[in-house]
Amino acid sequence: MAEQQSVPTTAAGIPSDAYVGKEPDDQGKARLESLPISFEMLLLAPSILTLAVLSIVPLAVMLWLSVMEVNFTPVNEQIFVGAENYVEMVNDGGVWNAWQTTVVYVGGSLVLQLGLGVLVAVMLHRVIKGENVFTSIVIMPMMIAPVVVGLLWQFLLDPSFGLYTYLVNQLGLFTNRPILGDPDSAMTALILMDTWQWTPLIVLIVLARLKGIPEHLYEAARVDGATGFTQFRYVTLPLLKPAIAIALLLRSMDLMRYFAKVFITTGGGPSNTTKIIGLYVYEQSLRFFNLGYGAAVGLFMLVVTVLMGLVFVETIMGGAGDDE
Amino acid sequence: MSKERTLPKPIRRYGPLAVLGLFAIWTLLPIGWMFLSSLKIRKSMFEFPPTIFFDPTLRYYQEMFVGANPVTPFLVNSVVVALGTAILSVGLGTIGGYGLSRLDLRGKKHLAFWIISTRMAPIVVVVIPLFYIYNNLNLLNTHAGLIIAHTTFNLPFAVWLMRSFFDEVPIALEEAARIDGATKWEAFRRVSLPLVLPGMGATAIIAIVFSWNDFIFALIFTSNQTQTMPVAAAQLITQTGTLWGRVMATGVVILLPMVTFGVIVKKYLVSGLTMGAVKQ
Repeated sequence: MAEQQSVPTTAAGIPSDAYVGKEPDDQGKARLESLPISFEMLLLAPSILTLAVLSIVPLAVMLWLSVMEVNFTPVNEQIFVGAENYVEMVNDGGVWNAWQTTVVYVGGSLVLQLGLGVLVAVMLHRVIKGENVFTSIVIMPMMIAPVVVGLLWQFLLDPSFGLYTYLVNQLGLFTNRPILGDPDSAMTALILMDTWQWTPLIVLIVLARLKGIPEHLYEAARVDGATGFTQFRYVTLPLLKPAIAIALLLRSMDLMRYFAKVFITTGGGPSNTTKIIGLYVYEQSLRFFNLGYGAAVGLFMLVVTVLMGLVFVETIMGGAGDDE
Repeated sequence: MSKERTLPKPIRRYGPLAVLGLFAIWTLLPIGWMFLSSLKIRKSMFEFPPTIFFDPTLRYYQEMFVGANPVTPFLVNSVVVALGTAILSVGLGTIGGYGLSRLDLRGKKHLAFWIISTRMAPIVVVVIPLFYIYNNLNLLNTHAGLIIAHTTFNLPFAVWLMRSFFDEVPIALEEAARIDGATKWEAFRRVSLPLVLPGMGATAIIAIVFSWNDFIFALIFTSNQTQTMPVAAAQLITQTGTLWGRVMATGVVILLPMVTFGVIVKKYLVSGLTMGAVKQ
């Protein structure tokens, strides 16, 4: 280092005294630090540029599509229709139905997964041994492709040979109607399917928080006479709130984002009882090729999810950064 | 001293174990049943009540790799796409995450939110414009097209997760290196980066899992030559009759490597799936 410094190198005409306080050991690095943007921003720039292209361009295309009628046959053409797609959306019973099923699907899944997840996490926190084995088991469903989960549950619920159909039949239920093919039970089955796959995430999130609760808080509660349920209700539960909020918001966003499991098992049926909004937009755009209309409904959906995300980052994670 | 309502001792002692046992069974039963069914010959597959004891066969696995319609090309596609997006996302995400962690900028919060908001977009909302763009750029049915599509969700994920790992590296370590004459790049490269290598590996593995498991993007953006495993699995369901043995065996082939990965990165899984919001 010292030998190099003793030679007053000037890189491409830049005077070497431009690097006061820094010790450029070669010209490339010296140039890096003399750029008008900060070093940190320079490292972040490739990601920002990539994401800008990958998000702003599609968003612009989406906005443009939403005021167009797009035809592929007989000729490739786009006709400007103004707000027509949005007007159609408000008057479309299919959209309203899709939002209703989405609320049931998301709401039902959240309630079930949260209840079960907190219960299992609290129980797991109490046992002394076996946590490692148990968590290794319960992370498995989360790693499985939604398509495989859907196919597997379709197999388990098959009316003529499914294992779960058999078990449910033993209770005298669903002996003459298919579980996934019945408007009364299809949504429940889908909710259970998602609960099977994603309750473990809630267990792990809540467990991580439980481990962070200092023992002296429980001791203090015991001194005040709180044990068992009271202790859980007034000590544990309030401290779990941030973890529960994170779990809820992550799950609700994912339930909105993905529809592969529904797509593969019921395809939205029977009679649209499981047609959630993501699937509805998919069908409009990529099955019926109403790209313009699909874009309008999709944009509205995007606004809803980004607002949910904003709530998530602002209130739960205490903001995305540390400034201001 | 107030007398609390408490449950009888046996319940307090064995209750938790019972709950955990039931939950483990509920979790494992479908997976176990899938393994068993992938080994069943056609006759025992459709027996009702279902059978547990049968003569196992490896026929479906054999057919999958050496039969008339081998899945090997689809496996290759899945691997190519998953590795492509993981390298791209973790490469950019590591330096980007470091930049975001150390950045001193007004409005950094908004920048960080914008980055993660690109991942919150519903899949279908990303699919529609990309389909339109790909259609015009001839990117449909290419590996590159699917890699780019998967990067839309893997890059913001990688930036946020890597940022959370870099946030944990004490800045004093870098300052010490700087005093010793290291440039900012050297401080990053030689001091901080080695400390987050395990996190980087976990980020890569979770990115691979997301890509490998994706169905909707792969369904829209691929055809026969570029199809990935989940799409191939879905196509085994036909109107004329489904070879459930083959479906189950394909499912096992899809899930086995990912479940293994999940167990390997278990320590980082909660951080990963919550994008750094929860630490284990």
